[in-house]
Amino acid sequence: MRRAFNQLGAWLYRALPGLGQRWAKRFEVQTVEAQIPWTALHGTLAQQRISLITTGGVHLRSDPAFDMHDPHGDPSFRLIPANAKPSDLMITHDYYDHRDADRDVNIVLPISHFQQLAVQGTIQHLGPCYSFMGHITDEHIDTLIKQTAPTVARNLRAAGITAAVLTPA
Amino acid sequence: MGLIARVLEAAGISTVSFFLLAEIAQQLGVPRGLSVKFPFGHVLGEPHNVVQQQLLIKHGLDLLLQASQAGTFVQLPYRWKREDWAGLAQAQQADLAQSDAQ
Repeated sequence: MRRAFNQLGAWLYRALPGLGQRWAKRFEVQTVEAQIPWTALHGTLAQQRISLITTGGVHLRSDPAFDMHDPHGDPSFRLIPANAKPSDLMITHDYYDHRDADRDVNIVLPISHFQQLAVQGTIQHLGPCYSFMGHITDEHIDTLIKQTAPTVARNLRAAGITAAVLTPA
Repeated sequence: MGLIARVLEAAGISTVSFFLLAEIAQQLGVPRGLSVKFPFGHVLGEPHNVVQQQLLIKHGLDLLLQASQAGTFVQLPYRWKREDWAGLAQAQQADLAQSDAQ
């Protein structure tokens, strides 16, 4: 029942984009207690080893889906190999209308474009990509900041990734 | 998602983040961000609109290369389903050629 309600909400936000802007005004934003972190980019675009990160709930069809029953969301992540084809991927996320993204995953995870940029040599390399599920609240925010996001950061560093492009649902 | 960008950036990875809600991103504070006023689930535009998606990605990569300080944020002016994407892509190419020539 909760899932059906969430899916109805997602459809409404899709149909009435103004609702999303109003929702944003009421949104309680995680306060920033420290300054914004910064890592300068070194070299040209053609020297960058790039990974993509999405919060669109994308995952390999062969991987477990994100947990849609926890009202606070699912702070875990799924690895998406750099050579994944759109047909290898699916989306589990009840909090936005992903029918268009089901048809073309590139509107939430531009993997085909970056595979092409790597082949063309516009970027040096496309590395491992990761998906989270957005809509994480309460205690799961802590899990995200202290556990799962740092794990992804370590994995990217281990893969020699220099830059990441992030896209939301 | 801005939270993830901050964690990655703090770990030594340069990030550029797309947003649909500029207010949230700017309040949170992200290293490099850009926003479009598109519906949820459509941050890079419409399905199979390759020209549109490429143009938005190009904006993101330009920001990645050009931003010189934390908190650099660009609000893209594009309107949902009311732009001539092929024309915009041509203009973007022309700008690029001009800046290369300089």
